Amino acid sequence: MSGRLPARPGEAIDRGRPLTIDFEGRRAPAFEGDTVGSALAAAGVTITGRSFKYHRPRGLMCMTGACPNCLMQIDGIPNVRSCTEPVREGMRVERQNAWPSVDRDVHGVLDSFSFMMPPGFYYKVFQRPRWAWSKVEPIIRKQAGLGKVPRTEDHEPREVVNLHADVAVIGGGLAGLAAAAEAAAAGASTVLLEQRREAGGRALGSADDVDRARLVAEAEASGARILLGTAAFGVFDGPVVAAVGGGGLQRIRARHLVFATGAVEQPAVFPNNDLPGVMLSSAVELLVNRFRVLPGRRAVVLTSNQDGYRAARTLRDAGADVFVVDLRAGAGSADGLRVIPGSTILSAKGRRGVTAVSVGAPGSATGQSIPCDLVVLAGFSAPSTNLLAMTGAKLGFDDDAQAFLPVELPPDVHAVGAVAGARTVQGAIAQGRLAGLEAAAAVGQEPPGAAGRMEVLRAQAAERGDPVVLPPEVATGEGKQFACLCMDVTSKELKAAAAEGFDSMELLKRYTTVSMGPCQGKACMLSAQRLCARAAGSSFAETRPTTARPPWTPVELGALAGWRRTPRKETTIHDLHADSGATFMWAGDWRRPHHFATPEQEVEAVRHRVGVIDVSTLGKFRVKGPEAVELLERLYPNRFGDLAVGRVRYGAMLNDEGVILDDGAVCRVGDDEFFVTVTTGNTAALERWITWWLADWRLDVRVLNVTGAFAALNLAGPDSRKVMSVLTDADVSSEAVKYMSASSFEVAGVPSLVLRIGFVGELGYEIHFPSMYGEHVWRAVMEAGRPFGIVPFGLEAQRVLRLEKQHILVGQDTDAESDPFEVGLGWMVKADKPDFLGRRALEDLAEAGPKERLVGFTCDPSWLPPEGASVVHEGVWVGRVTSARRSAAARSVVGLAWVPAGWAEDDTEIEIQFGGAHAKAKVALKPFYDPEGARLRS
Amino acid sequence: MIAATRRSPIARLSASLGASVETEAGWEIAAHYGDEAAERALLRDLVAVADVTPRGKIDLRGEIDGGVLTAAGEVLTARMWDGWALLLTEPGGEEAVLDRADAAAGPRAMATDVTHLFAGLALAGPKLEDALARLTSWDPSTLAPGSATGASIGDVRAVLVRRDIGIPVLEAYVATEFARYAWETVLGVVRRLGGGPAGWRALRAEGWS
Repeated sequence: MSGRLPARPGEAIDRGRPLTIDFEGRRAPAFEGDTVGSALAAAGVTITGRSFKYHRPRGLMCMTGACPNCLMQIDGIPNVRSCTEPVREGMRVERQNAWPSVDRDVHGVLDSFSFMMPPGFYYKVFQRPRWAWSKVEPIIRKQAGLGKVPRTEDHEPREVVNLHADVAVIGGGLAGLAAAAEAAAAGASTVLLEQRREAGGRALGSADDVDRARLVAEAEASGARILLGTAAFGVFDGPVVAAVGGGGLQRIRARHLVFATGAVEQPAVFPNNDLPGVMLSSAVELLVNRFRVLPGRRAVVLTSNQDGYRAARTLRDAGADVFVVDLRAGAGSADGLRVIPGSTILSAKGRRGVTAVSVGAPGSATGQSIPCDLVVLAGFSAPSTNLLAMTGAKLGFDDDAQAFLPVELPPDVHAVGAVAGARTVQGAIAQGRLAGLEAAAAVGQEPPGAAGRMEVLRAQAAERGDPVVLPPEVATGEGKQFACLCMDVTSKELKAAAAEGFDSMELLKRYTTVSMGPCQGKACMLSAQRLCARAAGSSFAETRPTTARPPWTPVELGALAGWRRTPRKETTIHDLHADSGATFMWAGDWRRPHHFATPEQEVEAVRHRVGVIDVSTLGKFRVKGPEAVELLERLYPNRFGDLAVGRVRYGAMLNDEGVILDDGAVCRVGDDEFFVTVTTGNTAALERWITWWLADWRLDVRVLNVTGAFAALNLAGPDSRKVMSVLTDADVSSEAVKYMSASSFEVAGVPSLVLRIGFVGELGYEIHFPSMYGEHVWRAVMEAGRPFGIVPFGLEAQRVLRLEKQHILVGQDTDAESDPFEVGLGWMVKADKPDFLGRRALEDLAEAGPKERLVGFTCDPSWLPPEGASVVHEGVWVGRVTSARRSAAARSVVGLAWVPAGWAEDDTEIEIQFGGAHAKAKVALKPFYDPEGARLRS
Repeated sequence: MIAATRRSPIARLSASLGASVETEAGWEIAAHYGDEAAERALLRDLVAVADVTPRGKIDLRGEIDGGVLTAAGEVLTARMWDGWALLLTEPGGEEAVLDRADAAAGPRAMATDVTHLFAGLALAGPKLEDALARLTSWDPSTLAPGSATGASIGDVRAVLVRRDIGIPVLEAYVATEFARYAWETVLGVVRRLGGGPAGWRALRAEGWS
């Protein structure tokens, strides 16, 4: 088998555009329009790969990407279906899973030892001694397998494209083309997905191209968006159809889905049914009629319907010597073909390819030997119901079709063509047209006269065709009979598995891996179901297929991943931080400076001179309305009705169980207006929390998350007032801008809200201003602070500074059970207030008293306990460390830890452990630095 | 003290693409990227993205009646739903609009200057739909010119305003903190479709305001 047949109209190849591909170091000729598989077939390559487990030679079988036989490594990408992959000049093609070569694979010896490798053997052998499996597993994995995934990341990220349409048609065969043409012509926005690079489905291989050409032209003219080379692989809630093609992932959302997914031709089961040269009739027709390659000179066609005769005529007309073996006893000679009626193939013979078949009555022990180099299996199909089933469609067994077909469809889902049981071309086309019209009408696009046409089409669509006759489940000859080509599962192995009790399809699948390979059941489900039924003593009709799950067609992980997008938040001062050499870290979604110089230097500057940190990431809310006070009184355990305009109060929000959700500053900026800050990481959650309660309480107040609207700087340190006085004309004395006040004045010429608060425990100003002035204000602050030795500081220094003051970080030092009493914030709970969130829980907690307390501790600086280190007592876990840092001010490690409430006394000794390290520590209830807060208030 | 100038968070990224900066209403704006004619061609024939962050933006919440919107004056109104509208103006126009809206809003509505809350990206050109298909799962055909909605773009939340100025335009307003990420993401998609960045001059020359 080599070379090309004479040119004919409708062939896929362009003989005027020759190409050369690199096939394992050799130059192989091809034409534009070829697939790798067709080009190699023309070049005389018969063995396209080695099987997964036994390393048996395999050849082209389906030419539609539905079987595993031709998987190759192409341009470094493994497991490419060479039968459908278009050729490109210079592409590198290598067969896979063999050593030293596919033609001479020494691992082929495994075929002789298959008796040692029954299904699930790896669950049973090499398990004792325990170390054995670790030695054997890598060897098994190396022997059994597919291609090699390239180590280098040299592929472009794949796109993810979202498409929307009134009607999506999945499958571009004749029924699908008809559906798309009708829907689009009626005015519905329509998209058609076809996995091949040409529309037409099974008709692509037909010698007579009339129906296909007419429908392709009609669909193109209708305005339907036709996506070729786009394979749907899953249907998800929405519904969303996921497909690969066009260089990435396509997500299609449509109001109506029309499934025209056709049927997959199935191999028959007989000894050596996997030999190169055993092919499906659709593949033979494609090779001969589209690619002009004759796959064999002497062919035996096994069939039970007209598909086989059409393939036989195709081969005969191309010059082959053809026998037809017809399962039907009454079949006679047709069109001059030699027909053997009432017979089947009992076995195939050959080593590197088929050389003969034995033909006889089903069940007979011996038969007539017919020399041949091609066996064509025709007319045994399984409807491609998987995608349809993912919509929730119900399937039922159809006796005439000898297959499971849709019997109940969800609303807005249609099934047409072979997947719906149509076995004639005209019936399939009528079904497609009808579904297209119905879908269009359902979205309000019913063309004039549609009702009459639909009536006619309904009658035509009812045409089903002749009942299907399937070959015997197994034959009697010698040799392996493969049910699953992907995983090398034989009929004998399925029978043995069923005898072990794995006697349903779902169990068989999991135990033997049948249908779990690259084809995902396309080429084996029919055989597997029938063999399962036979082994379990039930009928085919009672043996349902396995649950349909994505992916129905193989998908590169890169396509699922798409472009790597990691949304990140950055303040408007980010670039200046980068210019200053900041080392950034993730803080939730934010990119924040961890440090600029060293954290120790930054801490020293804040404690002794002045520092500035970008705290723009703080969550900020504008709360305004006549009932703004009422809202805050309900959200917080604090009191806010008595908060004067221009004053700030620290508050902690609780949930209904009294657990601390967040803390921050609440500033009264007007009679009915507040500016509320919350922690960086909680902003979105709190926005939802507040909005939810606001909707419930129906208060006359509006809340707006203004986080990004304001940049914020915390200017802190004993010299911070001096820097402020350079930045503003306003009076910033301690009398004018008091501790815990909120003042509005210009800073660096920019209107700002200045809060006199201090998370780091020094005289400080939190300056909030419109964010797009961020760079301007930052530069101005740095310039004003230069004479005072100002430094920018990052999160690490801030953590040290706040820890020295025992200021908690919600989420870091608290958890999902922490209440205000436990963390020392009981003072803010105003029990005499009307109801507020968490009140009832707090009443109970107050009565019971805390079981644990969050306390400060100090320990020797020689060891820094990590966050999460255990607090132990006599070897028993009693608490944990939440934060710890080395403190220059305290000359020790300082930290916060949860301990039993009874231990919350100054100088109580505790022991901290982590891994093999441990340290003695002492409880300290007061801040380690400036415990009276004099510096803060200065 | 240096005069206070407002700068879009995207400014540095624009500068790295060769943006020529002009000052308008206290804003640094990316006027063009070296070839205004080429940018106009992108807008007319393919797709381009422009940083329109300097637009004035007023957020209206609560009971919004027609009177408030009328009082706001000549603005582009993005009406998200009954209780929320975003009023868009030329750079620097926000103060006047805020004053007018605030005065007309009454106690059951709140007008807030959110000029700095949102960064704005204008995507425009005949390939807009192709770009959006790669940026959002939301169906753009559901949004008629002149209307607005909330949806994600490039995986971040945005206020989307659909316009038609002879060429299709979608203005996307994302939280300021996401501005740089959003710009990089959108520009990446635009470039893969053959487009690129456009400055204010080209955008205005095509009728945008």
